[in-house]
Parts: sequence; C-alpha cells; structure tokens
Amino acid sequence: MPCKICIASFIVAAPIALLAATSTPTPQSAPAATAAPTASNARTWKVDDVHSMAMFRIHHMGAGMFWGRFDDVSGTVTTSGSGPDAIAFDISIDPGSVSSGNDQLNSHLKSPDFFSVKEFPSMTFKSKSSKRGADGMWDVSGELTMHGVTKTINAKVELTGMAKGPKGDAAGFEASFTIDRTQFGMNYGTEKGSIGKEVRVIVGIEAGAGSE
Amino acid sequence: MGVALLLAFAMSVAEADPIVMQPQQGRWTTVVLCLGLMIGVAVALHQIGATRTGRWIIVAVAGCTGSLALTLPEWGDADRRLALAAALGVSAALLLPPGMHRGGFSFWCSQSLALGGVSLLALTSGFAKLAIPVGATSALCGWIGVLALFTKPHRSVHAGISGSVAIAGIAGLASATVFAFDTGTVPTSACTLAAIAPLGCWLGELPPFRTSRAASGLARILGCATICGLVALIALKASAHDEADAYALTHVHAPPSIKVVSAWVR
Repeated sequence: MPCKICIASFIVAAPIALLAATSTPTPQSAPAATAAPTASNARTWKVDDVHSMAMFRIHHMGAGMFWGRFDDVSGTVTTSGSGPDAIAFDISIDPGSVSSGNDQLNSHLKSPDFFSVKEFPSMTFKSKSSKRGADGMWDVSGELTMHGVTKTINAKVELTGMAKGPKGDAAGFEASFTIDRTQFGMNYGTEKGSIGKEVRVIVGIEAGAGSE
Repeated sequence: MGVALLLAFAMSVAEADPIVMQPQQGRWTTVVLCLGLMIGVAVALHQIGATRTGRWIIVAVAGCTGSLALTLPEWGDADRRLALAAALGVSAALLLPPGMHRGGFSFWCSQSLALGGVSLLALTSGFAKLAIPVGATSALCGWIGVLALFTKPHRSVHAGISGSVAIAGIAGLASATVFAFDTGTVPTSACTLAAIAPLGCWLGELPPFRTSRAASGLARILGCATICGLVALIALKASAHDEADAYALTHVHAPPSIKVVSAWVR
C-alpha cells in the first residue's frame, strides 16, 4: 500500500506537470514538448523587440556572403489550436531598422533600389498553417508581404528554449526560410549578377506571456 | 528634342525597374509618366500658339502639368504638390530663352553638367536606379553638344519648347524624387540647387557676357558647372564617411577587371 507522503506528492505534482506540458511549447530537446497546446489553453506571446531580430544573407559580387540585420521585429506568436501542431505567427519588421554596419550602405538599402522604406514602411509575415515534424521543428506556411508584394512562403521554425522570468514566461523561436527577392520586385543588382537573387533569412524571436 | 530626352530617360528607367510593375512596386517611376505628360502638353500646345508670350505660357503650363501627377511619399498633400508644380513651371519657362536663343555646344554642355549634378545627388542619396537614367540623359545632352561642334552656328541644335520642358522637368522631378525617398543624408539645399541647376546657363545671358558669343558660351558652362559643383560639395559633405568611399567604389562601378582579379589571385 502506498504511503501517505507518496500519494500527497503525486496529488501536488500531477497538476503542475500537466500545466507545464500543455500550457506552453517546450524545447525540442525535451520529449515533453510534443505534448501540445490545445484550444483550451490558447496563449498569445508578445514578441520582445529588444531580444528579437532578423538576419539576412545574400551573395555579393559572386564572391562573399553578405549579412545584414533588421533590429525592429514585433508581433505575436500564438500557441493554440485544434491539434498538437498548432502555432501561429503574426510578425512585423520595420525595414527602416536595417543595419549593415555601414551608414552609406544602410542608406542604399533603405532607398528604392532595395527596400524603399518610405514607400513600404513595413514587412509582415502572417502564418496560415503549421505542422510539427518528426524532428520537432514546425513547418510554417504563411504570407510574406515585402516591398508591396505578398507571396506565400514556407519557413522552418525551431523552439529554441523556454524560461520563467520576472515578467512571466518566455519562449524563444528561430525561423529560417529562403526567398527569391526578384519575386517581390526587388531587382537591383540582379541583372549583372552583382548581387544575388536568393536571400536566406533567419528570424530570432523571443516572446513573452504572463505567468499562468 | 524633348521626346529624344524623354526616350533616353524612360528607357534607362525601364532597364532599372520595369514600368509594368506600377503601381504596386517602384512607384518612383511615375516620374516617367509626369515627364511624358509635360512633354505631351508642350508639344500639343505648341501647335496652337507660337508667339513669344505664347511660348512662355506653353512651357509654364507644360512644366506644371506633370508634377501634379506625381505620386511620391513626400509629395502627397496638395499644397506641396502645387508648390512643386509652380516651381517646375517657372523653371521650364526660364529655361526657354537660353534654350531658344542659342543652341550649340555651350547650351548642351551646360545642361549635361547640370543633369550630371542631379545624377550625383541621386547617387549620394543611395538611389542608383534614379542616378542611372538622369546620368544617361546627361550623357545624351553631352553627345548633342559634341555633335553641335560639327554643325554651322546658324544650324545649331536648339532645345526648343519640348527640350526646355524636358530638361527642367528631369532636373526638377529627379531632385523632388531624391527629396522624397532620402532617409536622411542629403540636405534639402542640395535638392533645391540641383533642381534649378539648368538655370545656371542664364549666366551667359547677362549683359557682361551676352555681347560675345564665346564669353556667353563659357559663362553658360561656368554657371551650370558652379551649381553642379555646389550640389556635389553639399551632398558629399553630408554623406562623408570614411567607409563610404570604399563602399561606393564597390557598388557604383562595374565589377573588377580581369587584371584586378588576377592580382587578387596571385
């Protein structure tokens, strides 16, 4: 017959374990991560714009790979839905926050040659569907609007970590995808091959939600 | 002549940014539409009136027309757009007398310099797509000037009504476009000076110079070159940065020559 202490421990521990498994996504390294959010425990995570950024990589002059970044990333991540695969992103990036480490190059990137930030002050990604693969990563499909053009893209999303902080729960995501910038009307430098067409994008997101 | 300049400008724009992408992308290319409207109005009205006063009115009306169709970020409200329209009308009308008075090398050379300044301004603001068509038009002006050297003085190539509208329009609209899209490095004074740069040729129309053909021609070129130099000085000073030159060398010019690449490989 189990002792009273064991029964008491189980009664206390079970709800905590259940809460941890269902209310938030957990890193892929933890097997418990597959215990997914359900409709009853929908949570909206607000992107922490200080600890989130987007990096992009492009071939320059057929030689080196050039990296740049956007410092201003905002939006929400929703971990809810009807099944274990559900995760939704509504992300906005300010192209005016583009940073290359060179002021002159920053001006060029903001000009109509590239992002035309005065004409198109925002880039957005709104996910339409997501599916979690065997590797623990999500295949997220959604609409990317950039340079005034909207296209459907597919991104690989990894849950990089979970934490409990003073402001509540925090979750980290890393999304990566590749686009052909000419499909978004951004052609500068492609005619003579001085700047590549394909752009690899990595978005690092840290999002927070109040404690449950 | 205006139609030739418009074609050179429009073809370069289309090379940089397909015009069919309008209006979703590359709305800056409405500059071509505006310029076409201006020249179209000039040519159409020219069929009606040809007196001296009539020419001024035609050029002023044509100069105003295009800018009202401009759809750039900083030129949305009516007051600004009307001010731009009026400025372009005055500029085009003022360019008419020197454009009609004496064509030939000095006029076209001065206009080549004036548009070269506008092109440099666009390049300084990081807007290469605009710098290329303005530079192409500047080059065309230069070539017309060179050709004028081989014609007899009485058969000089005059800019005419549509040519005056085209030059004033390209300088004005391109400067307005730089102003509209610049994110902070190009001062407004440089944009204003670049817009009126073609009027530098009025120096040759002033009493001390107009009596002598050679002095007048030299003064025209000097007038535009001075404004062009000032534009370059202001714009480059504003964007002065140690690393900027290295960046410009990489991006503005063509890929390195075989000789340079060979040197790297060694």
